[in-house]
Amino acid sequence: MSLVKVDEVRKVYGGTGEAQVAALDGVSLDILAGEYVAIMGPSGSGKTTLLSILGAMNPPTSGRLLVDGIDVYGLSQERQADLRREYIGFVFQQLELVPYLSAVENVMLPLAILKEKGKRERALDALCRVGLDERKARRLPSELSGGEQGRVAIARAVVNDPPILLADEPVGSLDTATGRQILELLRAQADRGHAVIMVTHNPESTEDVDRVVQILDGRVVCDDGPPTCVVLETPPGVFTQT
Amino acid sequence: MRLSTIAFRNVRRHLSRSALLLLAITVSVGIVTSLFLVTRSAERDLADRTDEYGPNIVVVPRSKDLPLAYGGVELGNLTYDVQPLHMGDLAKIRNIKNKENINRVAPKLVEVGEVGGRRVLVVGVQWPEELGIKKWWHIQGTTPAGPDDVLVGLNAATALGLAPGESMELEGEPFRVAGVLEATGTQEDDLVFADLARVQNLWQRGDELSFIEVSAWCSTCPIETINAQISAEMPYARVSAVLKAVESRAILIGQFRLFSLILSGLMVLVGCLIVLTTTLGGVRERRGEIGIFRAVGYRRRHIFQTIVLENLVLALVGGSFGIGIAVAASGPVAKLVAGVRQSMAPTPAILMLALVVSLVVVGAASLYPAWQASRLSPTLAMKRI
Repeated sequence: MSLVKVDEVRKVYGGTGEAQVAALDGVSLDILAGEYVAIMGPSGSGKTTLLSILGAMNPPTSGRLLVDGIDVYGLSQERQADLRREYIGFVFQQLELVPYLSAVENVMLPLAILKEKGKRERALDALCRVGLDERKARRLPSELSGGEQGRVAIARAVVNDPPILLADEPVGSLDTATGRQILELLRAQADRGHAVIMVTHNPESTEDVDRVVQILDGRVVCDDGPPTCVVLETPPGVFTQT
Repeated sequence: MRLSTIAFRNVRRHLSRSALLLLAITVSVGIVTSLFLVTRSAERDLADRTDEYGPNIVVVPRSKDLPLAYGGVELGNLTYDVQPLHMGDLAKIRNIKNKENINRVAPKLVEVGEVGGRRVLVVGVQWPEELGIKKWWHIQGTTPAGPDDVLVGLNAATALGLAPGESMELEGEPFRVAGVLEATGTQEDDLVFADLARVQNLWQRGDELSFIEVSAWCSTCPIETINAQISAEMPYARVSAVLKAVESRAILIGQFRLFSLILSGLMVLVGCLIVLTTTLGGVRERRGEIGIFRAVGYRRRHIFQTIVLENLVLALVGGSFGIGIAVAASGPVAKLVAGVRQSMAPTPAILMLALVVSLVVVGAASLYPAWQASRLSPTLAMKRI
């Protein structure tokens, strides 16, 4: 059984008639636990909209999202928040660390609202798993390198051990070496059994993924392993299945 | 880490915004608390001054009246069964339960005397009490102090041809005219005031009194209560409040209180608006951050609590500063602005109440921005949407 099931999802922005823009148009996907999936597409293709729908943050105009068999958008807003906390970890494009919290406190962010003990230990353990020691854990994000900030972002995403990890252009703003480290960490999370779904427009980021889903104009135009979905040179950013 | 950690850290991080809010809260709480303390002291002072300005209670002997008519002709009232007052009654008045509210007790004995062949009403008084209760008296000459001194009303002095410093005989006894009262426009202009003990002696009245005027401070105890307590001590006397004095006092204090209430209300409103707009600005600035909180699973109420908590932290600090400033400044301000003789020290309960009110008001002003923040979408964390 798939961990994430996207069923004929359609998302329309704008008012009525011609002003409407269909960001997603009948997208269906099944993602398994432990699967590392890259969602690719040119700017405006709808991949970030799809990621936000997968993240229980943006209800579709029609269609369903099932996570572990739960109809996510059938839940109340507050229950959707609970589901995000329990099932989904996020790695944002700009990493989005809270600048006034230390590294360990950033990692503890999803745990702050829980009434349980050992939150700091769990956060330190998550940081340790991504290769950051306690000394670094006490530093503010501004005192860490780009790569270290990326590690903190991933530690924050996995601290409560969610079965799904969503990454929005996680290497978009990083240098090549740091980007490489982040991608390796994502791969490692998938190997641990997390379903990792990454949005990217960079084909180099997809080298280690299990599967590439390519989107164009809100439709899935290719859904297969990396060898079979390639980027067409002309027009730029358009994909096809070989 | 808890939500409070996030609130504390955010307050520290946005120093300029926090400083502005802190200043606004400190100034508002400082002004409103000062105003409250100054008003309280001024009210009390005003009340005391009003109470001191003439009697507000009169104690007269209880008697029975019978209206008389003979052959269709009205003969006036016949007063009988009069139970006279005595000097011992003064101690009873001074020892009622609310004795600390008693300011002056001025006993009087009224007799008809003869000066230079003219009949005149003579009132025996105790000089310190009488002069203390009649603050509006302006005396030409010297203030009477001894048993041989008399004070003559202006009309009486003119009729008897008396001037300050002259001697006169009252019922055959020598007296010195210490002073002449300037016109009061009341019956006092026709009276001769003399020492009570001398009058009691001259007319052989023992320790009898005609009536007693009482000046009571009513700011901490209603005049009805004091009235009732005196009545209970002296069931043979009729105790009446001088309603005009009481009403004037109530009007004066009511106006003063209304003025300070309006001013406090305006200050609270301005403080609330500053808190509201600054917090709204902060929420707008932190949309992305709030989006992250929502994306990692914070419920709306968690966001709401965080925003309100941040402002409550500032309210606690700013409120404490403001109250401290108010406590230090209210005394001199009360003296400078309202001419208050003795400021009332604020009680711990009042200071605690001021702090609680600060927290409640700042909390209330934070509700709308917090509600707005709680409605922000988690997609704000993904800025490209």
